[in-house]
Amino acid sequence: MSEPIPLTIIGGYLGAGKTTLLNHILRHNDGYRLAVLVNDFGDINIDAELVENQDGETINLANGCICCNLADGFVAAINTILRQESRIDRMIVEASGVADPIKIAHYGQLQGVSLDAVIVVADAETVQAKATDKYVGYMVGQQLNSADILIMNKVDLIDQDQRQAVRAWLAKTAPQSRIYETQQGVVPLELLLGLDTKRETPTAAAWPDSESEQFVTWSYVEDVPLERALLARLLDDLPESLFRAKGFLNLMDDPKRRTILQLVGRRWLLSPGLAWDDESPRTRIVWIGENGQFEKESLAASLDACTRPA
Amino acid sequence: MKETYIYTGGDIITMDDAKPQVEAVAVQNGRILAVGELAEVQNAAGENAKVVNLDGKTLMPSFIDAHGHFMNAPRLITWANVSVPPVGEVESIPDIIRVLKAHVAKWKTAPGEWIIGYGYDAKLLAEGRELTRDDLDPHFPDNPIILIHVSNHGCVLNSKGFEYFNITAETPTPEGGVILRKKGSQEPAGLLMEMAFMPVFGQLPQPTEQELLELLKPAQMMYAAKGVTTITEGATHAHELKFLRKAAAQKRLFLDVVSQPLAMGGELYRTFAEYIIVGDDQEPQVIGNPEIEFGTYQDRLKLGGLKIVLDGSPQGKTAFWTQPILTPGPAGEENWRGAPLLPPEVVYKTFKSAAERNIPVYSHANGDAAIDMVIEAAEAAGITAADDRRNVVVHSNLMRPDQLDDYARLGLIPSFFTVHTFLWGDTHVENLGKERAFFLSPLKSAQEKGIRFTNHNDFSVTPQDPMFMVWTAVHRVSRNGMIIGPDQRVDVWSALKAITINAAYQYFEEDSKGSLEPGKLADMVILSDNPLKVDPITIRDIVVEETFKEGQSIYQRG
Repeated sequence: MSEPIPLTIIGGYLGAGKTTLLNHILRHNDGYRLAVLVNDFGDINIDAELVENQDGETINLANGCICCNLADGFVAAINTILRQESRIDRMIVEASGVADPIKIAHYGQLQGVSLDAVIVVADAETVQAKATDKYVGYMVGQQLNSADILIMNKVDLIDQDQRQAVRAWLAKTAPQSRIYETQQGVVPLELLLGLDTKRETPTAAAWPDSESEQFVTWSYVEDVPLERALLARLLDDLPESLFRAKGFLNLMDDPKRRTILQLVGRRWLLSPGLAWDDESPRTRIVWIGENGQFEKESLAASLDACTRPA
Repeated sequence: MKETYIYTGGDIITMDDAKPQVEAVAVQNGRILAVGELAEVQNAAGENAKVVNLDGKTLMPSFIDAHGHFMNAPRLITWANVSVPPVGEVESIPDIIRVLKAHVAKWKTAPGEWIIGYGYDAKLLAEGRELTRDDLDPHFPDNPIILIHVSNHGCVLNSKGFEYFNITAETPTPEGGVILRKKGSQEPAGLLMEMAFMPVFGQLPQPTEQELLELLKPAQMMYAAKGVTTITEGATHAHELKFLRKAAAQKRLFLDVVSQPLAMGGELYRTFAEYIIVGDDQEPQVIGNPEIEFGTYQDRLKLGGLKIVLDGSPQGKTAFWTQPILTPGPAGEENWRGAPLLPPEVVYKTFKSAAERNIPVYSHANGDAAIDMVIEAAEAAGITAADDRRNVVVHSNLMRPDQLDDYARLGLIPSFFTVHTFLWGDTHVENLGKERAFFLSPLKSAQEKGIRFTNHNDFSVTPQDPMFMVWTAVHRVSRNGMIIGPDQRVDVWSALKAITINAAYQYFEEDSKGSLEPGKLADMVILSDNPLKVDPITIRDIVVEETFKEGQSIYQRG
């Protein structure tokens, strides 16, 4: 059985900018074969020149991505994607404007897929009002509360003071999430989807460090085993500017095999991986943080501290 | 040669307020020629007319399904009914085995073929426990069995069924799901719920289009046997509309079918892809197209309106209320009020866009908050009663008294759902308290405000059974014997109007259906007894003897 396909849920109220964000992803897919699951083809408004053909509930795009509609439900759509001849790298589900993304995230347990992250888009200008609306207020609150990463969109439509106030309000309302500010739904792919570790050989020393306007990708490599409890404390208390991390760990209490780390927003998971066998055990974690905010040296120092038992 | 028939010799209920009961009815060319005293009817029909003696049975207009899901019928009739009464006849596990064996005999199910049942509910079984694979396996070792839970959120499988889906002791229980295990082991016992059920249901084998086309005849006969000659497909997906159009073109429909295409979640695009423009606000709008004509039958298929769904069901606690319910929500939530399935912006745009094109909107709304959303949207779209749009609020089940005034002002038609009083009345009292629960489907209050209402079974949520509907509208008695809102009971005449002349009105067909009046279609039913005369408690026992569609006898009780 092949590796499960990571599933990313994109939620948020009507008009928050989910569709713009999806359109952005489909045009800047960076070589990934993405499958986008939507309620509404009409909504995504794909560039005509991008469409290769349409086959029932599936639209094939020239760049290798596909759009699949949810007319027959998630199970049917996911099965359609799993049956594709060439493997899909990532699945992205656009939740309806009044859906609770957590409920959709449960589909991440279906065979063949695994939940990556819940991303929720909020309209910086209107989200506070919507959160108190007599009809949809409750659901908007549920949406914000289910986010691993909150995209605070349309920040160009409000002034600096409002921007700070909205951000502070979001941080208080959705304390479980990390917040990323943007406009016009422009969100870097690595933030939405993380890094595809399969693109690199697992035995490589590290993923290459890189820097874009918005993000820094940085690898931490360490041969000395890490202590689990210290690491857990560190992961619970990372700076706001860190959005994702992924890697293989060499843990003191589990020296014979890799431990896999997955971190999205504030949520992280350690799970047992393959045995090291002939390879010498070595921790390699790739971090994604916001450029200008993220201090590599201080993180490196904190991680180094996890090699020394308390 | 045109035959003329005169029906007499039994009670004849016209459903015409001006002339409620008559002695005779003459039918010619599929239409009512005359009604009245036998002599005057004979006079109008001429001396060659054939006289049909009703033998003391009761003739009345056939029934109009005000809301239901016809597209569920072709599959459902091939499934075994393992429901408890009154939906089915199952009261114990041996009953389930008996029903399944009879089903296999009837459909000649071959070894290896699926046996699908519906309506399973352990709560009301004599054994007081879940059915297990061990109950089923000895009797059905060679067929996979799936019995779908009455909530449609779960099922029971036998061993062949588990084998088909490869669900074993090693299968982990998904979050948000249930896999009932055998005592002291990890082996699945039979029951799967929610997230454990979803993938199973999604992978059940589907009938081919040809099989479904063939099943349309017995599906329509299921309605005819209950005296229904106008059927509703009240939430038609795009592919289903395509199928129905094909069936109509092949002349497979012998009853009238009113389809309300779903206008949400992308269905509008799929249904009317060629006829959609997308505005600057990215919202779909139906543009006029002569081929997509609402309101006229073509080969017995009519587009009767657009359907939107604003909330779920009160018994599933997914309706949307303004006030919290008294019990925890479906996932144990405190102060649960439910949530809307559509944003108010979309409801408004649907009303606005439909009103501009003279298309009625059918809004599924059970809870009072969902109903508020409908009222506000209709109001904002500038709709008033004087426009005669006949927008229908489907279910209007747990409304507030003040909302009836809004219905009257905006011309909203409530299509009520009174069988709830029997089937879930006790549950509603538990969840909502008596005051709110007793105002469930408030027929009497609506009537007092001069609001014309219809009543429906919402097949296949409940069985297609007009007499049960009348019985519940008249008695409102629950399973436990509580009267769910004594003030809201109506008389039998009013209950009958809700499924005849008022339902015709709902569909803009009151000039051709719903009562026995000269010129109207001879859509008629002969009943074993007169619902206006029998002891009202026995109304649900009245059976259909014969059903006519436009004068043609299409069903006779065997």
